[in-house]
Amino acid sequence: MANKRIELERYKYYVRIGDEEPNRKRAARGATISLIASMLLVVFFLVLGVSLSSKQASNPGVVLETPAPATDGAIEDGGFNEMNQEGMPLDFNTPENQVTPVMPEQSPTPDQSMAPRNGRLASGSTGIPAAGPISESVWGEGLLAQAEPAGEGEENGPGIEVQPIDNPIDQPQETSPVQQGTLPAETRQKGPDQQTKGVGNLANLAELAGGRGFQLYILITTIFLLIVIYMALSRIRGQRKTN
Amino acid sequence: MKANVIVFETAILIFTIVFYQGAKLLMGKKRNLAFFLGAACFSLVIESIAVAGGAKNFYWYAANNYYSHYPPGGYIVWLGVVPLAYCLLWYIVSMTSYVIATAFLPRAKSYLSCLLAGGIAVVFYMIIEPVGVLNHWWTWNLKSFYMIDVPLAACISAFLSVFVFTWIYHVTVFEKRDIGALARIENNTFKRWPMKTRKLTRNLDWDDLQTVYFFRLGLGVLAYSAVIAPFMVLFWAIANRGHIVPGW
Repeated sequence: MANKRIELERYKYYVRIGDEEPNRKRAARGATISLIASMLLVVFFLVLGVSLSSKQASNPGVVLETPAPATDGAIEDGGFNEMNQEGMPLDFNTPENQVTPVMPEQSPTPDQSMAPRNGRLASGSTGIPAAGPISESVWGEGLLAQAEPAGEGEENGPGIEVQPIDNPIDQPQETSPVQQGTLPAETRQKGPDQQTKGVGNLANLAELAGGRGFQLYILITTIFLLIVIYMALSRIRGQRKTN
Repeated sequence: MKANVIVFETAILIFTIVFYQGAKLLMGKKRNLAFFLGAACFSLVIESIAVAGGAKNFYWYAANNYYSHYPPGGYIVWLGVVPLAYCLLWYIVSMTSYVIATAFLPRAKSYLSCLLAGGIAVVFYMIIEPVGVLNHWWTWNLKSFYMIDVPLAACISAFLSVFVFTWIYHVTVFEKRDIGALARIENNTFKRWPMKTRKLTRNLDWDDLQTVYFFRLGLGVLAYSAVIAPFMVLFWAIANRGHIVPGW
């Protein structure tokens, strides 16, 4: 035993994990803990993928959804402004130089009301997508405005502003740092669209198998990984027993 | 309904604590610490380059107005431009892949088992990436060829990065081997100063061995970059999704 230990010490640089060093039983126990933690991690992603993400996966707009624009004191999801102690809104989000839309007789059509305004989804951060196909220019503008810092409250102004989708001229984005570094619209339209198509789009996978494509994909990949991890675990435990 | 990034961050922190304890028993305290630090640094450098180069970003929640009112909405712990949780996830994935590969190919040559580790890591990321992208834990901006909204370059990157890292770790920390031409470079550079030694790698003490390890990791990042660059150019040329200019 002592000779064996000396031998191991001498050749410890050439041993393999889970086999010789450190103590075999200890290493096998550590491998068991680690690999079970990995299995749980995989199951965690399975649960998230199947329960929370499957509906979103079927919507092509979700992946490229931009964050809701920052406004002063406004919470967009709830659709209300924060109130002060007197019950008055803290901010009406009406910049002084904003062009006030005058369209009293023009009510938005359902498509327009759901369509992105100023390049963003009207639903803000709720993940509710714009219905129907989304034009290239809309995605172009929206994605270029991604992670835009706090603006001057373009979205929740008192008037309902429905901008023409393909006409970004009136959009008050002159001060946006994002726009300063962007290319002209003509240049941007060259090359591939910013919306993935075909095999590139997750929504196409999600729509397979009666709308359960994404769930099946996650499930199959997870089962494969769990089997691989389990086989490795049983090998390591088997090595411990044979040794 | 989205799984908030705080769910991801908290889960990864808990899994890392459990995983680290197991890995410590498996590999020994020092070697596991070396793996952990090496993996964190390696992934941090790669991801920082990716963020700086406009390939991806982690700012969706931070930029979202709703979450600006909700302090735990964005990532809490950042390492520069990359959240800590992402580096920890990379550590778990690379270590798991390495352990599995070593279990399957215990007597194989080191590069073969590390190639297998890279392949297993890709399978991991084929689960992680779609869920992460859907929940906006990170956003891909890269002009590339995409499959299910995950850039193909990301899959190749996962394979290459895990392969390079685990191979360097295995050769340096486990086998303590000198690598042909690299040994000459090492002898003429940092082994001359500040280490001031001409010893073979196998005869180095632990502190010096760690110096060699991190030097090789630095070279590994360069090698990784050199190999991934042609793929990036190729996918840029045949891209099915355009570049999204990051707005930060």
